[in-house]
Amino acid sequence: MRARNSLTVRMVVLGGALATVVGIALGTLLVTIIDMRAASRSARHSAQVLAAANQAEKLVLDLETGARGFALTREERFLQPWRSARAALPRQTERLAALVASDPAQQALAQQIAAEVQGYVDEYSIPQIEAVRRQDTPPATAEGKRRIDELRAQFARFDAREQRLSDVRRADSEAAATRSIAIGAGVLVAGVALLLAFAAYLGRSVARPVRRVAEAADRLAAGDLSARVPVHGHDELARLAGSFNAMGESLQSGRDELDSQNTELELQTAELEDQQQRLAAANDELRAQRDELEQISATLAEETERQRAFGEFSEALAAHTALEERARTTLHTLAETAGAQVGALYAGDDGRPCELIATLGLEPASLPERVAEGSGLAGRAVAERRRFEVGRDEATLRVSAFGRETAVGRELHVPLLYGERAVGVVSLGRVDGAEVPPPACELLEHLADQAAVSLSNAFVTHRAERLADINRAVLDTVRDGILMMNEEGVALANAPARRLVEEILGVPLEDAASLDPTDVAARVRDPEGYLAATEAIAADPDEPTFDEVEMAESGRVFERYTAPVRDADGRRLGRTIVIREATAEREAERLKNDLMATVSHELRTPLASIVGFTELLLMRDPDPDVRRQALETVHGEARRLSELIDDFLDLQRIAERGRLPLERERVDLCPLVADQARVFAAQSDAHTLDVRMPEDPLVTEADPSRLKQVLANLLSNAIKYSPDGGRISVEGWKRDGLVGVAVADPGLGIPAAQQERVFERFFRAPDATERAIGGTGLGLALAREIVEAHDGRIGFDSVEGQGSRFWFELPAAG
Amino acid sequence: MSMPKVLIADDQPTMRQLVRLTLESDRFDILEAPDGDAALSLARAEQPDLLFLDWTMPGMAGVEVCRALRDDPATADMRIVMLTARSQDADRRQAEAMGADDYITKPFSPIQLLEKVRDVLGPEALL
Repeated sequence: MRARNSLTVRMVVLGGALATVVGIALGTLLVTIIDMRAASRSARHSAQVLAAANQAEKLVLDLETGARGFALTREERFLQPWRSARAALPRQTERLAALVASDPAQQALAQQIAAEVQGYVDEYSIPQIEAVRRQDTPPATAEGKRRIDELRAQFARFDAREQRLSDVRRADSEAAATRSIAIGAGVLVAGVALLLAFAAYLGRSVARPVRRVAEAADRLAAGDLSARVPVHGHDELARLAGSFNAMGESLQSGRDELDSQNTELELQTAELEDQQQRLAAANDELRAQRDELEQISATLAEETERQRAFGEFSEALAAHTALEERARTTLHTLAETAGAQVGALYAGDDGRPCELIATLGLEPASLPERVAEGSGLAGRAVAERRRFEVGRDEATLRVSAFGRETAVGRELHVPLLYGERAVGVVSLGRVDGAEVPPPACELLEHLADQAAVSLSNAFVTHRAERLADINRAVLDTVRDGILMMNEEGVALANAPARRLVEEILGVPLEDAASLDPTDVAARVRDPEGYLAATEAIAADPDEPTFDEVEMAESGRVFERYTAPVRDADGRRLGRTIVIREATAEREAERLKNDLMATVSHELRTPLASIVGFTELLLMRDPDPDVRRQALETVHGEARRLSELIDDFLDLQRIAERGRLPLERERVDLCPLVADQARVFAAQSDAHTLDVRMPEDPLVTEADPSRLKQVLANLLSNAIKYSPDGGRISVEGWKRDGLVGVAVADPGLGIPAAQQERVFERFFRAPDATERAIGGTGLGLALAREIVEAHDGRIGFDSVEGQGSRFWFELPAAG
Repeated sequence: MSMPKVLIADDQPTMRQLVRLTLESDRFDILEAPDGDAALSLARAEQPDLLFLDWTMPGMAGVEVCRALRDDPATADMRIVMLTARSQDADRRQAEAMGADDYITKPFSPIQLLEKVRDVLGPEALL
């Protein structure tokens, strides 16, 4: 271990020696520099001490000259320097003593000076000044001068001694400087010499052996595997050389081994080449087999493609049931297959001529509307059940290109055959004029067959839909609701049926079947009857039924006819229900019945008097007075009867002709009103008639007999509808070019709900019927017809329970 | 023997007169009422032997008067004949239901009226 690392140890020892030499030299240099600094500082200190001594000496002189000046002049201002010096001196002498504190001899001298200065001041200068002030004789000046001179001698001794000290120190400083320069130069020389020695040693003991190893490595790299390095000693370099030599040995032996392996590999290569030739022969055989397989695969792919085309076409056709959609799909698919850009499809249902149904890239207006069998190429394709393909010269389809119309390059007419039947023909045009390749032609014919079936079905569907549409439209035009029910619910319903069922049951038709019959029964006027009819339908479904349902709330009446439905073979399909609204009819019937009862009553009342009195006259022979009275009554009643009949006839006439014939003349309403009032006043004891007519005549152009009818009607109503009697007031007026009459009664009045029906023919207030108030229900209707025929107006105001006021106005005659 | 009391209720004076003349007033005590309410109060007050009752009258209708009299024990047995121009079967049935003993439809012959009187009051009433 020690031997191997000897180079490292030597390097460390040499480096350490060099560092020690340089360290000692630098240390010596540092000590010399510190000496120099100390010498120069003590020299600067001596200068300070001298300056302070001079300052103190000057202050002593100030004392002396100040005191002397004052003694001569006795003026206080000359005492100013004295005062300043006296104040500053103690501090100055102290400072001087402090500065020389490091030198006991000088310090003693400084303290002596301070004591003598103090002595001079206290013992001489102050007594002198005070004596001057007291005008006394001052102390002798000779004494003062001696003291000052003594002091100055002291200062001179102090300065001389300090100067000597200063000189000694400066000489020390210079000597130190010279010494340090000498030491620095020595150190520099010794350092350089040591470095040179170190470099020489490194070159000899490290660089040379390393270069030898590098040279050997170069030779090795160049291929000289015998290159070796001499080994000296046992240090690291020796180890490097040893390792290098070992590597060289190892490389050499490795190459020898490779050489032998190489020879073996060459032998093996020859063997492999032989095998490769045998494999190539086998490979050729395999390639031939693969080509054969590829051909088979291509045929299969073609077949698959065809099947896919069929499948897609089938799906596309099935996606729409409409003829037009199927025709369009057919045309597009066939055009794509044939590589055609334009085309047209003609088809006809069941032997009808083929009509244009779909076009591709062509204007329908530019094409013939239909194809006549046997005429033209398309017609021939249909007639001969075969495909036609022609070039540009015979082509009939035209395409527009660059604003000009030109024939297509190649034209194809494919018949659509369903078995032996031609459903239609597809005409296709190729712009490029290229022939359609045979496989495409084959595919085209297959697709055409498929299309023919599909189009034929579409025709059938189309016919069925059209028939269904017609049936539905016909059913919808019927006003009655017609529907058919089977086990699954509503199988068929026309629009009125939906509307009526929803109106009757309050739910949509689809929900109606699930309603409970008792719920429906609750809405009708006769629930038991309804349930019985429903049960009858359920019990005997083979019998038709008829019933009538009146709704409790609305009063609407519906007839219901139901009958089983059977197909041609007698199988039950369900049950038809016909719902017919009979509300208006029932209302008309009710009105007619009411009218008949009323008419009968109204006719019988005057007839009772006529028959009764005449029979009585025939049966007995009464007094002439009684006879006459009876005859008058008979006569009056006969007249009333006649007028009643006239009313009917008048209205009948109006109903037939639309207008009432009038015989107009100038009429004054006043006497007319008065006459009628008299007639009606005589008819009732319970009523009084209060007639107020203006004095001036109320003249109008009118038919007086008709006006009399109107007045009679209003007065009769006023009396009839005031069953409790009372005052009937009649008034007349003329204003704004109109003459008018109003009749007001204090009677029952007209309920607001019935006011708008008052002038309807045959309308009678239910109240009137209940209260057994007679009337035909024709009077007011007739009155309105008459007034309006005279270009007048009729109207009323009425409050139920408080009476009514009816009025009419006619244009006044000029 | 006092004369039978007959009440004629009809709003038409001519009709009341016809009945009065037919019955020959010297043989009957004849009362008249011009409306339903008067008929009811007179019938209750006078207890007539026979009541001719019109249907269509101001105030209470004839059948209502009939029902009111039948409902009152004091007049429940009164002989009541409807004398009306209402000729429907339904009217006749309704009158019967309201308690009328008989029903004469206008127009009527005086002989028919007298026969009813005889049926109701007995032959001696017309002697």
